[in-house]
Amino acid sequence: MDSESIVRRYRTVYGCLLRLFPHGFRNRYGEGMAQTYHDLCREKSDDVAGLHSLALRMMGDTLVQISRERFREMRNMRKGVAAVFAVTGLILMLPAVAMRYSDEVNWTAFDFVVAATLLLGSGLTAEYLWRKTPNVEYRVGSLSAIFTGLFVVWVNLAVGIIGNEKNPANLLYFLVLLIGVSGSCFARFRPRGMSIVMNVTAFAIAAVPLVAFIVWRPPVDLGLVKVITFNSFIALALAGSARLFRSACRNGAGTLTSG
Amino acid sequence: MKYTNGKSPLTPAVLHILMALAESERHGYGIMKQVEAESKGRVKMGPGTLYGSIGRMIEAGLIRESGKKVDSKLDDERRVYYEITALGRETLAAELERYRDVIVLAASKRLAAGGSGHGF
Repeated sequence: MDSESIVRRYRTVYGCLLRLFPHGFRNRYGEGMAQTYHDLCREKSDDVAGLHSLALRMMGDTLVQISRERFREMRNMRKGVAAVFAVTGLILMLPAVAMRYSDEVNWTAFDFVVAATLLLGSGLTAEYLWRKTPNVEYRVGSLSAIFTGLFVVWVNLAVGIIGNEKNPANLLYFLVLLIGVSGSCFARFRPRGMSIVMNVTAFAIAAVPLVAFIVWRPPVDLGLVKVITFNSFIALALAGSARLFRSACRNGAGTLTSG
Repeated sequence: MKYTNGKSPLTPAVLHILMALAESERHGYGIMKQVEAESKGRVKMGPGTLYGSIGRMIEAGLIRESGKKVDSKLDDERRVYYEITALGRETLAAELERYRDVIVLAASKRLAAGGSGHGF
């Protein structure tokens, strides 16, 4: 086998090795590392024994670095997850304390479980997406989308957006958010796909009052105006997220991979 | 261990990368070759050590990616070049000052290599 083929094979193996790095590190430095590895191997291409020795030594060095980066990632992740739990605990303490001093706050154990699930779910998702890339637009877009969704669910469960919380029209909001969540998973959280999903979700949210009006025929009054205003605000926030994701895609976060 | 200027001692890899970038902007392979040449072949970093150090140095603000683009005919235009920052220069100067102090101390104790003391 000629040295060029050996260099090519080592480069392929090294490319597989690079996949073991945390994705953030790999996205940022993977190409440079592969290029450097290739340059080093090419330098030794006239000495096959030296080439094998160098290629294996460099792989050993990279394996050590992979374990370091994985350890750093785990350490940082533990901090992030701990912060999410701490913030959730602090938020849930507010109604718990308020219940001791006021009769107007009356949460059941089920309310606390639902609130904790929502806060932890949103917080952990935000933490995960924050870690995917250092791109500021992607991070802000993710936070904006997640907390807009959380706000819609929270308000809907607490008082109901259309009429009161028992109005079946409010189920449409959960359907729209389900589209947003499943679309984001389908897009594997990549910015280009996220931008499309956020635009679709924004459009669907804006269409909810229209659908509710056609199906349930509520009276045209101040309540309907309030619902339209609320929905417009939510749709604008989601469209803003879509714009940030599109900008993130243009600024180099487009190659973002999941996991 | 903290010094009066608040900087901790640098790892050998970080020190050599700062030295390599003190003169001019370089890409990863260029840094590696420069370090090897300056240390007369005694320091050989692999891509893992090099880019691990680069990542931490960027986070610490010691170096940054430079906007330098090369002629695609002469070099791979996808290569990322790195340059030292003002903080990086300051840190390098502080580290070299620390080395000078150690050498002076060793000389005063007649421990320096080639001295008439007991040596290392």
